[in-house]
Amino acid sequence: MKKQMAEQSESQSHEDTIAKVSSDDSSASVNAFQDSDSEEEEPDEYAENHDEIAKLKAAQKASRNSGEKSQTLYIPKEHIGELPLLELHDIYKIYKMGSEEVHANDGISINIYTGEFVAIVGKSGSGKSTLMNIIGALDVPTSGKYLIHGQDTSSMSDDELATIRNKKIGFIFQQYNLLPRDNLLDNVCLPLLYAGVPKAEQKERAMRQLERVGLADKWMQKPAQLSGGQQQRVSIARALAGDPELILADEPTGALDSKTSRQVLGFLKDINKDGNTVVMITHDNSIALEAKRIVRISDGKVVYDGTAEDYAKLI
Amino acid sequence: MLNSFNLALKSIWSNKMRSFLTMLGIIIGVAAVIILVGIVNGEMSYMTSSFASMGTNRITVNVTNLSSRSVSVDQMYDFYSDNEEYFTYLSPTVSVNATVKVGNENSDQTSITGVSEDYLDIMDYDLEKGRFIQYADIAARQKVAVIGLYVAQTYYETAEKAIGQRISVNGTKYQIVGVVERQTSSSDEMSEGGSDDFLYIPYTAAVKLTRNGTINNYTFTLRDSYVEKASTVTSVIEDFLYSIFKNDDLYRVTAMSELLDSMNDMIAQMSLMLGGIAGISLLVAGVGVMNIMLVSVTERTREIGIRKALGAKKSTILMQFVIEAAVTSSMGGVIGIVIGCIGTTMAGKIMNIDAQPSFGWIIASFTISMSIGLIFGYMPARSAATLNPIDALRSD
Ligand SMILES: Nc1ncnc2c1ncn2[C@@H]1O[C@H](COP(=O)(O)OP(=O)(O)OP(=O)(O)O)[C@@H](O)[C@H]1O
Ligand SMILES: [Mg+2]
Repeated sequence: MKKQMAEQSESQSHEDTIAKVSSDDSSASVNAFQDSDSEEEEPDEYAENHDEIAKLKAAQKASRNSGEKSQTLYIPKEHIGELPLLELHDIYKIYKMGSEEVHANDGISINIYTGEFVAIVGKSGSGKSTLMNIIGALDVPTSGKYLIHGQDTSSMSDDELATIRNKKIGFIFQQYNLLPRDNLLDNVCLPLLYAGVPKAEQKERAMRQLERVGLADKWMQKPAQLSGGQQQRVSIARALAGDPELILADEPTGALDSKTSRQVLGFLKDINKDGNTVVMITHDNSIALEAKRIVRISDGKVVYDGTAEDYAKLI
Repeated sequence: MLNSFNLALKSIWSNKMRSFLTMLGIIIGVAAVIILVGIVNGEMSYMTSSFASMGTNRITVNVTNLSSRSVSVDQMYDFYSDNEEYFTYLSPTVSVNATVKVGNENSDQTSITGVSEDYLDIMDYDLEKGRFIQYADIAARQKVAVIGLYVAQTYYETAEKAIGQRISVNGTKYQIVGVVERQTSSSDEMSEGGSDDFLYIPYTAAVKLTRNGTINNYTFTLRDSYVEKASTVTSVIEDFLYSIFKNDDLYRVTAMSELLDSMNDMIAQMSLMLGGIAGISLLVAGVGVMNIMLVSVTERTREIGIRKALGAKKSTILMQFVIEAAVTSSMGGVIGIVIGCIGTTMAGKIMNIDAQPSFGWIIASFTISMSIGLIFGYMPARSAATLNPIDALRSD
């Protein structure tokens, strides 16, 4: 714990420097984590709001300093003392682009507990997807420790990771990632198939999930015959089919209009109410606010980690 | 395993176009090889059999008689009777260029040969009607003739009616004493200048019709025990002729069986070349299959990414892809074999040869196309399955 505390304060001070530099010279806001060709006409969509970040950081610092001294990471009050479902310790993901290094994740530490509904927010290029891929065991961090149920993933083989993904995690991708040539039922069956569930049971369970998302009558159709929102519902059904503890959703509403977005959000909330842990990634603050807890990421670092209510007050 | 099998079948079914194109490559390759080999083998066996029907037990002797040095019929017959252990028959063969006339009709294409009484046995022919030329006819230079069935039927309606009739050779009348059985195969029409349009007369009579009045060609037949050792006998004949001519340019001794041997060599070379052509067509088919597999690799990489993200193990994915490739290419192979066999039989019918699919080539082409399918189905899948799921997902 002592060591962790030291690390935390060290990175905190580092962040401060960056924040200062950026606010001093806001016109030179081009950094490694943003598309250099981001157009100036739409600054609020792609450029980082530095005032907001500074405010969030200040609030975090204040709460960490004034709060219980032992607490280095944010732990929701109701989960104090529990074993976290997911533990990320100082996760770095560094992409080497020629001589340049891109720190997509730059020392991220968070704990997520069973039953939480966490939204990870941040501007485009801030490292959300990178983080989600690591949480989903789809990718491995360059350095840092990632534990699921207290088990270190770095020591796991490819096949063990596959089993973790299969049994414990349900993915909802922004691009849906349905198999285009399989019908909806077969798509939803996939996680069960790889879990070795008998055929009849696969069909029955998959059908139940399709019913849940209201697409049971379309089970023999191909994904391409559905609207975006419907496809996303299929991918929700697929994520739920294996009855995983954790649902990971990367921009689940990214490609949808606001009405269908609400619908998809509703599903995620329902799932969470049923006891599943939900981690949702979004660049949209208003959607993030639907979660119980918000983790704000900027330039690959956590700049805010706390309740949605506190976050709402700060922005 | 069963899972992978089901997945593979489903994948083949849901990617009908791709599976079909893959199969098509293999179908064409396999069928082409089988048909090609079948036709050429049929052609070759046809050649061999028509060659064999010319008599592998024959030795032909061709001499150039000079006024100073020559071999006479009597010398030849003496040699023949001195070496009876080798030979069964001997006949001089005198080709005559003369006009054959029946009544007022010319028969230009009819070949005229002067032969001995043994000639019918040498050719292994049977008579339709009448008798063959006899020793007495030869000794007495009788003006008798034995004709082919085409001549008989064309000018006398039937073989029966031809017997006893007269036929004119360069104005000299010959009496027809016999008609040889039909030689043209039953599936073909007898034709002018064909295998039944001939006329045999005693060689003693024929010699008179040639320009220089000498006999230049002889045909021996070998005893069965010497057919395999034809070269021994040829050298005996050559020694005999050398003793007379003192110059080996003046005679030529040819054993049919040796000719057959050299033809078999040629055929072997042809099959080898054929193998090359077949190999190339398989290779072309293989490249086609490879192309399709590689083109679909992006789509497949994404698919592999999705499957891995949902918890598929590398081994499960590879198994699916290997089974898929194996099923596709073996199905293509089987269809190719069926089409190849049907095609071979049909081509054989059309070309009027006995074309048969070769078992060895069926196995070879099937194995090769199967391996091509397996290798090119497996390799891209393996590299994709080794990727991080996220890298596989990201590919497009
Ligand atoms: N495979 C990769 N190779 C190189 N750089 C990468 C790769 N993946 C991500 N990055 C870089 O890492 C940074 C974070 O990317 P990431 O996809 O995590 O952002 P994000 O927050 O999900 O953005 P968005 O909202 O646009 O999806 C970006 O600067 C990106 O260019
Ligand atoms: Mg993203």
